[in-house]
Amino acid sequence: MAGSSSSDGAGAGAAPPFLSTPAPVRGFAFGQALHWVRQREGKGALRQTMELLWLSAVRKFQPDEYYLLGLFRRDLGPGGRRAFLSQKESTAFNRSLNAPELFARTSVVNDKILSGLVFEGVGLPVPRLVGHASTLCRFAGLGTLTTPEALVEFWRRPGVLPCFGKPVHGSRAIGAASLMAISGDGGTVTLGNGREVPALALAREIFARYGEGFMFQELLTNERRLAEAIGATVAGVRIVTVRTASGPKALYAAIRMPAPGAMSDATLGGRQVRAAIDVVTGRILRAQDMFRMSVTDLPAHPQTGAALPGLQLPHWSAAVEAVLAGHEVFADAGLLGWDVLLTDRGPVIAEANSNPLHELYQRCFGMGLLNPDLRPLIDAARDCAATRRAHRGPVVV
Amino acid sequence: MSDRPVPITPGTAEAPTVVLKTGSISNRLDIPQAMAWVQATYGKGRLRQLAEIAPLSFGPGRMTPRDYYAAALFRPELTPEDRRAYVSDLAGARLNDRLSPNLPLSQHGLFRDKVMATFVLTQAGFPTVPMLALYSTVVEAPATTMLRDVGALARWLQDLPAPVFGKPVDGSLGVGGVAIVGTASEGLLLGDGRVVPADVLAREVARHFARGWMVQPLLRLHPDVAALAGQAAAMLRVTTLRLPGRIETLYTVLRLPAKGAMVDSNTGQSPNGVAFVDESGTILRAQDLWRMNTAPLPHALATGVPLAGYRLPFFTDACRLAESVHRLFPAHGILGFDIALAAEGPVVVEINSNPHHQTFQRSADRGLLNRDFLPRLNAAEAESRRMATASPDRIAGLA
Repeated sequence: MAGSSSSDGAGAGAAPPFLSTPAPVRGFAFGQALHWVRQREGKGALRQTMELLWLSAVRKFQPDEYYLLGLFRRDLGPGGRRAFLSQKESTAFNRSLNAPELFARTSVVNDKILSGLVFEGVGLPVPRLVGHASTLCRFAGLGTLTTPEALVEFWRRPGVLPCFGKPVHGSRAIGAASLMAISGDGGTVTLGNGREVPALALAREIFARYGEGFMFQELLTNERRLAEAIGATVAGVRIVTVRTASGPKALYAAIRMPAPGAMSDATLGGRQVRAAIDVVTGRILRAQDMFRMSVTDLPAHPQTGAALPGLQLPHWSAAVEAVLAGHEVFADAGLLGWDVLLTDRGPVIAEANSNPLHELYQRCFGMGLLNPDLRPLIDAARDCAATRRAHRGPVVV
Repeated sequence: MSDRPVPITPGTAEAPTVVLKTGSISNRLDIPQAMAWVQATYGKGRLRQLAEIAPLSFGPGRMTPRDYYAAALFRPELTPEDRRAYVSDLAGARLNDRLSPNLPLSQHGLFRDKVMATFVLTQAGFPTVPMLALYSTVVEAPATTMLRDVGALARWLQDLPAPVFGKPVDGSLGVGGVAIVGTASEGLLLGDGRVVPADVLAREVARHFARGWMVQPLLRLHPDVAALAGQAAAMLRVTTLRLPGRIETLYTVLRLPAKGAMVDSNTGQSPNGVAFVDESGTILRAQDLWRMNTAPLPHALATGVPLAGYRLPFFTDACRLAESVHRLFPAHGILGFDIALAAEGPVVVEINSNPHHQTFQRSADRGLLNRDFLPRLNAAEAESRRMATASPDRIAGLA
């Protein structure tokens, strides 16, 4: 049993962590990729290297982005390549729409409990909050667990498990875990990936790593038909919305399917599948194995074998309506990335992000974010942000 | 030469308006006159005054000559250590920045946005002032009446359900605030006794606060506080510190509105003040902010009630409330809460992540970096530094 080096779980810091950690940096086989591109595109090593160096120096693309995004493709042409954003450009793009002086509410979005309170307050569907652990933070309406021992007792209460736990301030599901059951004596907890871990050691790890705030929510699973196609572990649908003069609009959508055995859909290792979604209809357009370059489609889900292109996602209209209503609340935001879960009780908003990575779009759709299809909406969002910046009065603090 | 201390007189408001104060009013102090008065009264020559001012100006407190005279740091009974404990607005803001650095967990933006702050506090279960309506061309308010144009605002004001207080969504220091206590045939009856047409007020709001102007019920203060404050909603400023594993109240100051004022800040019409309140909720010392700190203020400016020894209601509850709310925002080493001691109990009105410390220094007649506060401020700052570097596995804000 991993991480159970001592019977009471003491010394959690020395044992391997139970909670999810950032994935180790994967090596990229540049030689193999270079060879493959030369074979497929007839583009020589020198030309690839020149393009890669230019994109790296001028546009700040990482060398592996050149291959993973398929920037070597001849059919892209200069315009198609210009439409792609590097990670740095992606952040700058987001900031151009969510500049701090425009978007005073960013901080609320980044706090999962505060944003959850806001979403719930305006009637949006959110996961039910079942508990909160912190050495410092407290909530008037929710009893906060302040010690590891109290946390273990909390897990033993009827109806608490199964649940999903994650840090209040974090992203990419780092530190997240689903807790399925606790043994009768309270000694071990079974995690969503099947591991059995000492309960007290897990609680201590939570306080040691995330003592400022760790939240427990109801454990949600994919809607029944979606679960048949991609598995039960809940998949996050990322819907990015932008604010225009006529209100918030959905810019694009993509789905992150959890890797086999994973407790969440995050980029934390394992074979990950992402898919482009038609934001109007909610049908999957194409799927992408994230361990492969974005030039080959994935026709079917690797575990279930279900065909992915054409798969209709459930509750689609309601999901889009919910995120647009949510964006109305954060009126200052020019762009938000919403993580929506499609469950048996309908769409549930897991969280919102003010700095979403557009790599997801670019890899799933196989095209740059600033492509001619999205450009009119993006330009409308930029115009709206410029207007709002001009109309904003001085902030007196 | 007059034997009275040099007065601190108000500057001019930024723009002429009929109803609203549209900018903060900084009081002026005639430095040459003050120097001469100090020389005549205390026998301290100009050179000696300058020799005291210079190290304070270039020291960590960044005190300006105006700060020196306003706080009456020329008094011979003060030691160099006493003087060095004072901070200017600039040094105070820098200290606040160090205590509450801009981290992914920080909520500086929330505190600037009164609409969202009110909503979050309500949802989190804390007593606050509900929002009745919001005039804005930009900001949305969840679950409230939206007024989108001047006409809608004027009509809504004319049909007031009850006395209200209106203020901008992102202002402070009483800028843009107005108490409307009723309606009359000529228009709206304001808290200071004036009557103004609703459309005049609505046009001023639209011209100066188009981003957002929120309307809340007019707070009914506890009678013991109203006895000091008169018509205005005097706020208790509770400044709290986040130390390792706990939140504590650092200091508490009651704002003393000017006579006949609608707000508790400087209106420029007549003097306002501040009162330092000790741990038991008793006023220890008060200060007229239009006068140098050469003598305490004996009576409430609005009502004439004696101040020293006056006990405030719900004081302990107010401090515990501020500390509880601070626990929602652990990234902030320091927060300033404006709490109304209402008839029913304490109510959080606003939260400020960059609290001005002049209110404490002037009312308590003591520098912020005094020997009692300094260890606590240092501990809070160390905890902020620890939090800034903790949990390197987080890439917050990027998802």
